[in-house]
Amino acid sequence: MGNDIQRRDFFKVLAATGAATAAVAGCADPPEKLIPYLVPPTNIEFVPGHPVEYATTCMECPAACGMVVKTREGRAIKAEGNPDHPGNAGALCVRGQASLQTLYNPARLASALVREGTTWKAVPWTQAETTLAERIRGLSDRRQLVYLTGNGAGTRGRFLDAWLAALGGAPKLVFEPLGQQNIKAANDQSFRRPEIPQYRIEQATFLLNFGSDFLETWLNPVRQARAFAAMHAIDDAKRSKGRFVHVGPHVSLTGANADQWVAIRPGSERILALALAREVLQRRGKSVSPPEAARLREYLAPYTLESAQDATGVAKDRIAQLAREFAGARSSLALAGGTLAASEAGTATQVAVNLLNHVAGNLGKTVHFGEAQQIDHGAPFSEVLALVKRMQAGAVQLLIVDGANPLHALPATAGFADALAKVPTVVSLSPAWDETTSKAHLVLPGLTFLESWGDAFPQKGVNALVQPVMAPVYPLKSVEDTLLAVARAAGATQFEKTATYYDYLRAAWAGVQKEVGNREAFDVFWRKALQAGGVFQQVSASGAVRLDLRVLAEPAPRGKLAGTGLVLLPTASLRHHDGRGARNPWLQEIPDPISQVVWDSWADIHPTTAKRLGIAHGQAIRVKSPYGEVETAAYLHYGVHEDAIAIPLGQGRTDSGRDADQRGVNVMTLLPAVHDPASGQFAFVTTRVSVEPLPHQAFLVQTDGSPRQLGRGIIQQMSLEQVAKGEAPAAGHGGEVAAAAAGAAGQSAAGTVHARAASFYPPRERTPGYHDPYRWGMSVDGDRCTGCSACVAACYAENNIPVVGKERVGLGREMSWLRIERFIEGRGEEYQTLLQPMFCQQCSNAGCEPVCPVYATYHNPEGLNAQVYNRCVGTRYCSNNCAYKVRRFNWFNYEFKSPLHLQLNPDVTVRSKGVMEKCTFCVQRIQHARLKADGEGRPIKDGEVQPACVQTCPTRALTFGNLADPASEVSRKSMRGEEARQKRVRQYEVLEELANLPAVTYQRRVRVTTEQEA
Amino acid sequence: MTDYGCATGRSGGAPAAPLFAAALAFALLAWASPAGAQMTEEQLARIPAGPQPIKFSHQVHATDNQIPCQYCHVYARRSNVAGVPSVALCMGCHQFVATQLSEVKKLSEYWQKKEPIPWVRIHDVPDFVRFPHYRHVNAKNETYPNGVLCQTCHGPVDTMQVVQLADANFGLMGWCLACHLKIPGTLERKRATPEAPGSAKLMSGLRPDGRHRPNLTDCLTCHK
Repeated sequence: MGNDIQRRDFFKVLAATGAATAAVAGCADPPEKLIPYLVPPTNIEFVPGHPVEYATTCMECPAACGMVVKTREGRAIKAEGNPDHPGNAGALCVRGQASLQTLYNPARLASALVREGTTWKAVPWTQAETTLAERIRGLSDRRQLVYLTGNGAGTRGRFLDAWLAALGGAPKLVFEPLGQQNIKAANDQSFRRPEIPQYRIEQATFLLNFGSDFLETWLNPVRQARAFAAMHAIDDAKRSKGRFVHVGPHVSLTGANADQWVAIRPGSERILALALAREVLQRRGKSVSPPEAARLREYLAPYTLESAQDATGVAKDRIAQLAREFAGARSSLALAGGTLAASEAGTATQVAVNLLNHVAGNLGKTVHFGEAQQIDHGAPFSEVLALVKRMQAGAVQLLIVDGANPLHALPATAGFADALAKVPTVVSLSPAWDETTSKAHLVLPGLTFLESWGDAFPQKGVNALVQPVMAPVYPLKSVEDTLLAVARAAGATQFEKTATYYDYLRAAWAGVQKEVGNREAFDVFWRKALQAGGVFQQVSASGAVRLDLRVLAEPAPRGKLAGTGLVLLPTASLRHHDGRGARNPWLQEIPDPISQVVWDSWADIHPTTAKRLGIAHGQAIRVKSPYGEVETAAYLHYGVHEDAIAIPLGQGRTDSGRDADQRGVNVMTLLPAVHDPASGQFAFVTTRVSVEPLPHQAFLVQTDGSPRQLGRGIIQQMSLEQVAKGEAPAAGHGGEVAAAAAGAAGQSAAGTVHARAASFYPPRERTPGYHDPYRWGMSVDGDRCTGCSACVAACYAENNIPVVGKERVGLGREMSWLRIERFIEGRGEEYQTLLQPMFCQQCSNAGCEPVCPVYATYHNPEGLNAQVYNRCVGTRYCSNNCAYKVRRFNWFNYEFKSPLHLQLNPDVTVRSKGVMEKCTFCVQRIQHARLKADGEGRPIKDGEVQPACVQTCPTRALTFGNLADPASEVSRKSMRGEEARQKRVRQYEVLEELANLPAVTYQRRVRVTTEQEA
Repeated sequence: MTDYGCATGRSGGAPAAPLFAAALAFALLAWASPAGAQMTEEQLARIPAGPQPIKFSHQVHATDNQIPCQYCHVYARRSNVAGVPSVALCMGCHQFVATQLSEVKKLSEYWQKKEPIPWVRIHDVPDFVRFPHYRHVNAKNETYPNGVLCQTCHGPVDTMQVVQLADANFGLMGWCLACHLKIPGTLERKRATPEAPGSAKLMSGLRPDGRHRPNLTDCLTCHK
């Protein structure tokens, strides 16, 4: 500086002036206490400061993915997928990542409660158990004891049966709002196999999906996402990829990943499937024997292209084209499921899809029956209705509810609220507040799955164990142990030899040991199973099934959508599932990837329809059905049929704690209590609703800013043809600059090379001391990323990122370091949704670094844009100068409401007010690996470090590693060297023209269009 | 197959008496000088009170009885934290040794009550710093061929009756760096410029033998 004052001196002077007013600040922290262990743990190899990991099984949804939970000093701090589990293979979904907030939820109950009028009284646990036992003993007819549970799978189901048998209660009822009875019933009718087959998505080259949300909630989303990536992501060597067509009235995350969306009238999936089957049979039908073909032809005769066009609203040429593709594909697969295929004709729709798969020869190939998915999807809705009737008739004296929330998840017209009021004693075993628990008389809060024992058998050959990963957050008992104590107190003698549920489980696993053919001592077997998360075996079974032609004689379904107005489409939520995730703050704060809405519900309306009704985006609307009405925000979305309105499930809580209550609306209040008579499954698509604009804007918070890229080329895509030819498409608004620069450099502007503007400084990699031996970098494959947001939740969990709430997100102050960007291209039915993760690009020539006046952010020798939190003074210059908007500022000291603070990762600073924060590729994990490598006197190996986002990605879209090592996986994917430039067909860097030189490279998404397929 | 930890079925129950530790301690005391074992109440009274709940004298343990630091601070060579000894570890010796002393009686009271001792932290580094004890204790370089001695940072704790900061600057960044910069290679790497002959090699993060060159001035090495 000119006037002989150095930067450091300047700050010293500044600090000295400040010291006069704030003399105490910064001098000394208040003395801390050093609390030693009374007795250190001896049952594990325990070293404080080192994580202990437990393998267990995720119970957030029935898919039961394998999980490894990292604990530090006895607190669970991070959930990862179990790499040995055949279902999820090391990945977890957004809900699995957020399961730690189920464990540490502020709405959890800390003691047993008894209702006294309108208030609750905490009572000692044993007293509550005795009360329950007395009530059971006092029943005049033990059949009036009813047990309603949300989880009746595995040994637990058998235990509940045994418990109810011992006490003489009615058979248990498993309540699962998103049931799969339609598939089972349809497969029973079609093949006499009432089971859910294994869909081998990975083997298909053409995937036709009738409305299922297989990347979100349907069946086993993580496994299916992996299979989908195997099928749909481009094979760069072969330059080929599978094609995915989504058929349905609504586009959610799954539909957004399709190459093509066919918008059909709600409820007309069956007709389309049958018309396709008819066409395919005419073209191919090789797998069908001649007499069967004749019979099928006769059955399918009425489903001509014309009739299908009338019923579905899809032009017959397009249907014919679809049929051509389906018949011509090397390996095809048709799927149907989810809430949108669950109408009153849901089973018939599944049968139609079975016929389509049959005539295309997919049975035993891409639809495999031998290794059935044993996911427990509960009792059919018809049985739940029967229970409601019994309750209303006064035939239920004692209702025990555990892990289910029927008051929220059932339609209001089912009459559950009235029926519940007629039950003299309602006992809830729910670990946290929910609507049903708040109406109970006695609450014995159970433990979450992360604190209890259990098991799950989601698929043949997958025997998964659930073990407690930490001591209970509150001094409570698991549901099963409570039930055992109650049974004993009620005088049952059957459980004399079973002191705890742990003993029961071990006894059950003696049977598993026999089944899997293990001959070790049981304790050895048990210990190994616990360490591995279960016993996993490859089961090979013949997948042969035969079509039972009697299915063709089934009566045609009713499937009517009476009334006027728009068809209501209740959609399962990626984040909240059927509503069970609504209590977790992360799942509220992480935006829905398609709508980018946080903490709220919204109603997807087609812009044409909205215009007709005089509704603007974000306007408050009243949605009225014959059964109820709700007020929500209109969301203009091309991805919904013009004749429909879609509202996600799960929100609209009233008694589930402060994070869930009064957020959005409960769409179930609009629905009648009807079900598919053939299967008993609840019918979601049954109702038309009137939509009426209200005179005000709703308070709808979206994180996307602009839905359009405006020529910036942030998420780029190209066609398969371009990949084959090796020509990159013109980039965003940097295209001209790059072309001009390339021209100036004497290169062809049409080539794949984006020459960068000349720089005054030598590149970092040629600056000694930098990028040697490591330059950490990442490769993001846009063709693999589905936008599932698991990485976002993983980042929240790993890096102690605070949740700021709807109002502050509305001000643009969300703290997520990693976000899923969503852009819309095109208009109308041909519109496309582009999704891609965005996080700190760790630029070599970063905008943030030179503007920091205190050197809090700087370029680390290993290529990280380091952020030193305690050095930051919060000028926010860095954020203003960041082209990627990935820096987040702490406007407040954000609260981690107890007991959520127990989840905080001790390896990452909890930032305070006035500090800028950002992604550093999970530098704590890099440092951990370095210290380990130092101890062993070697460099860090490729693959040794995985940031949280990379580790949990179900489709392996993210690759992390050392760019300075040409042999590393990330270097091979990124192809950064000059010599690799010609091969960089799909590669680009976001906002490359700014010459920030990011360490993150993206691979373009590849679209397959029909013409190129042929 | 990956091995993860596994919980044993039941936890809780009374902690087993750490007899093994006690036996070891006896052997150790028999071998060491007898002076401390015969400490009297009068000698104890001469030790100043200090801020701690129990008058614990490092002098008595580490110097008079020659107990090595890592006998009690068991995790220093394995973990980020050195480990404050558990009450069980203290009781391993003190259920037999010097049981008549008033301060040891305080210890057994904590043990009887099943409560940990609320020691006051003297050596504190800020929470935003990652300080791996084990990388220091196990250091192997020209300056510290056999690891950094505890006393290098903590001062002569082994001769203190009451633990206090030997250096008021303990835990401040400049104080840490003063030592980091003395490690051979660090300053050279920091000062090397591309122009200086041969310095490019110095500035590489790897040594020719494949080990990391110390990178002891990078912020992220310590700051988390």
